[in-house]
Amino acid sequence: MTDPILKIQNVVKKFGEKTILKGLNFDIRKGEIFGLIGASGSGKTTLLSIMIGFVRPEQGDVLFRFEHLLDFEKAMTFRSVFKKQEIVKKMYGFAAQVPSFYENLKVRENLEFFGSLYNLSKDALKTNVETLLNLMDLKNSEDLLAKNLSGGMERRLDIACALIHDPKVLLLDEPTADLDPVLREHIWNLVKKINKKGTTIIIASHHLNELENLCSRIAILKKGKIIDVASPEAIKNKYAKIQEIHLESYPGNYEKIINQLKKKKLIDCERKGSELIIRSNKPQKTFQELFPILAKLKEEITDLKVGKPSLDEVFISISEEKEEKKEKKEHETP
Amino acid sequence: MKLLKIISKNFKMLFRAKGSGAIVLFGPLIIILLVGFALNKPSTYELSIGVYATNYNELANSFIGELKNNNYLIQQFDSKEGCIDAIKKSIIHTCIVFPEDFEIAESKTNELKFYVDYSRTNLVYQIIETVSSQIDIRSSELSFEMTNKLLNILTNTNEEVDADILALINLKSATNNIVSEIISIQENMDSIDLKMEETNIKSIKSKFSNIEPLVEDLKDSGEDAISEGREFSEDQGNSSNAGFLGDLDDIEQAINTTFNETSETIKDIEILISNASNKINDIKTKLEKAQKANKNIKSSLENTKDSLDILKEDTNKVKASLESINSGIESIEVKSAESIVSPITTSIEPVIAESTQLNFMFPALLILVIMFIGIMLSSTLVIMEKKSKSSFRTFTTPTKDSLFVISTYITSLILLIVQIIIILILAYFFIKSDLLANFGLTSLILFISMSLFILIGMVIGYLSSTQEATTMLSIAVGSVFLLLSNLILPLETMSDFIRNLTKFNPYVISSEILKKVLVFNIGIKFVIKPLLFLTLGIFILFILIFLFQKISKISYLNKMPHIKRQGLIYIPEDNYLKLGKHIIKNKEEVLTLLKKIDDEEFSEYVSNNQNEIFIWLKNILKEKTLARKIKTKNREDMIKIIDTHLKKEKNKTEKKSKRK
Repeated sequence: MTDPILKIQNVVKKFGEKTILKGLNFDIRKGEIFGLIGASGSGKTTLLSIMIGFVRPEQGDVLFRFEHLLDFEKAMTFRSVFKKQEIVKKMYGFAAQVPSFYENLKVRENLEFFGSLYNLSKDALKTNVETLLNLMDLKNSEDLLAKNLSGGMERRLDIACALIHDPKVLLLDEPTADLDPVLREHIWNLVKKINKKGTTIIIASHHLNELENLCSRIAILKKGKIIDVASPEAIKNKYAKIQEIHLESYPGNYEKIINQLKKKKLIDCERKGSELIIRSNKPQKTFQELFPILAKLKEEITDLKVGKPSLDEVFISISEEKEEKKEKKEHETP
Repeated sequence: MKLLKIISKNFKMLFRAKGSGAIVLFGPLIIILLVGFALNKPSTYELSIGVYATNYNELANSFIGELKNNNYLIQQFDSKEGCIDAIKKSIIHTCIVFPEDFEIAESKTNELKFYVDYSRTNLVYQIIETVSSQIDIRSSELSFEMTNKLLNILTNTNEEVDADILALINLKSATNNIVSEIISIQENMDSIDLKMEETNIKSIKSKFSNIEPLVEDLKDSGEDAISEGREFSEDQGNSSNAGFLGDLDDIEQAINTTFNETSETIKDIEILISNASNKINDIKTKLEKAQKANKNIKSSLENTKDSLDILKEDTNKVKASLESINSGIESIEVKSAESIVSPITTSIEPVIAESTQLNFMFPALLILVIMFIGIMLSSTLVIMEKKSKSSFRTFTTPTKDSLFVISTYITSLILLIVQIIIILILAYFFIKSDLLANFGLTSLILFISMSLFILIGMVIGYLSSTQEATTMLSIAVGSVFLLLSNLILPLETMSDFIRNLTKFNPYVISSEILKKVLVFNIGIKFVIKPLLFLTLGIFILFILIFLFQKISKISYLNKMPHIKRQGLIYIPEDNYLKLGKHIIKNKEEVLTLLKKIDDEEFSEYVSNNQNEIFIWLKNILKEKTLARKIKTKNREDMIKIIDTHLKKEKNKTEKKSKRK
């Protein structure tokens, strides 16, 4: 386990009467890709803003590891992000939900401009610009005005701008929002490349399935609280009580199969593309019900997979579970 | 280094922004060029004047001629209405309506009516002033003629009164003489004694009557004496006595004669006395008459004297009156018609050599350009930065906020300086404005003015939330400064309150001090106070800007988690659509669910009494049209409608991104 680079300690944030973040506690480890998942409005962006020191919490603190090149003692200490803004800003790179750059500057000019704001030397700036243009596949577009870039290119330029000063930590807030699957894939590949260079990455996203394969750890944020912080696999193991049966059959009369299953009280099933997905917490029993139906309807199994549900579905199930518990509690209370 | 990079970025941003580069660079030049063409002429106005008179008589024509002589364009109209309509149609600037029977006559007021378009506030006073002055000139000429006539009459009267006074003096002297004569006559008359002593004719007569007996006595005495003489003689008998006796005889005879004669004489005397008495009585009567007449004459003379005294008094009064008239006339110090008609003449002497209007207006115009460009440029730069996608990124860099403020200020200042230099060069060559005479002070004023207006623009930029609001606010602020200045309406025509406000108007202060320095070439000690005031304004504005920038940044960062992203609406978790165990976050998920569930389940959520999807779409997503479309539809139809809606939305987004 690597050392933490950031410590989020008992962070409480309110907007007016509403408490957005309710006492969050977790660490970010150096060199990891940390996923922050939660529904829209759950406080992800607020948390990221607090992490970088832009927004002050009502309670708690965010501490960063003070990396002093010469003084080992100092390098081991943690400082508040709200007290050392100059250092924090040099340490962090932040790509917000909405790409942030000058639309009337060219791609290269944007990188050069933001680089100059970090007081990079001429050579360092030149090197970084070139590296990032290549890394982000923007070399061919370097002379384009930023306002003429496509959505994916905008996102890449934004991340490049966040990386221009070679930060220790990169925060990405919904980096693939509004992007099509191909572009999303492209961005995730970039994130992996950046991480390989040693940059700690914190990603807030609601594309949970994509984070699943990317993040070393994930924090689930719901209604201002961290429900859990663990690896995607651990979370799935912990929360995914149901399993998914992915069935492909011929002639694929799935409506009839669904109707038959519903008669057997297996109602959580749906057609998804060429598959029929049946969710169950007792897959053995489900198979016992399913096969006779398939035989009866003369459906020939062409593919059959049993697995845990995606992170997305885990998240929904967690949400539902919580809701159900809440409702139950409300019903029990006279 | 950072500062230079930010300034360089500002320039790139500005010149690459749509149209702003051209406007910023060429805007002021175009303004100055147009104003130059408009005002580069001697200070007279080409005014079109409409005139209407029922009778274009000599007097009316003389007025019209006066106006024509002064290069006004005169249009004669057949009716008053036509003339007034022409103002409304902007064919003419003013309409002069001459009164009916326009002529100079006793007790006749000739009122010339001016019809002006007060909506053209900037021109109307100029029109009234210039046209009225021409009318006044003609009116003065007429006054002059009439006054001259009046003065001639007055001079003649003066001379005649002088003559009359002289005559009166003579008359008075003559009257005095007459009075003296009368007095003398009266005295003489008084000295005439017309009284007659009472002559006692009767006593004379009685005394005369006494004389006769006395004479008789005397005669008797004589006769006795003669008798005694005779007796005596006889007694003596002597011859010598004969003579004696003869003598006695003689004496006796003489006595008898004398007696006789005396008697006769007495008789004569008595007659004479009687006659004399009669005469005396006549005389007395006459004297009495004369006395009466004398008395009457005296009375008449007295009356005459009294009359003469009255005449004298009246003469004195007339004289005094005439003298008063004369002294009145003489006391009129100004006796020339010109001096009376125009007791005070004005002559306008320019404190500097007469020039074109543009020369006089140049400082105000220069500050006008500085004001509008300064405010608009800096406010645009600030709002561009504020609304730029890059705001967030700049916050993440280790750059002091003040650096962005200073860079915006310097960028605006550089641009403004370049423009002002171009304008000044043009002014130097074309308007022949002597800019080098007080170059240091001029530069200082321009620098302070530029800084002030740039900072005002920056405050506007930080206070505004959109580009449109910034532009509107900038124009509004500039317009207020302009309206509360001398350029459109004279400050003197404004209310006290507004006039007091203008003392704090930076445009007024800047243009006034620049005019003083540029046109009148005065020194710094005369403009130091307003300069210090403007400098104080600059400091205050800087403080305000830093404050507003801080607030603006805090507000931006606080809003960050809640911002609506372009093209996507984030629904708070609490507002998700919960249909049974399904949680729906967006329209796509509604469609997926509708496809997933069967009609039986569908009927749990959508029925005649309740349509949760409709309520959610309408109230949460605010998709009122879509909500209305699906309100009474079954599942299949709902799927089709939502599917079509989403496809349309996707097409639109794709088109947008393609355009981008």
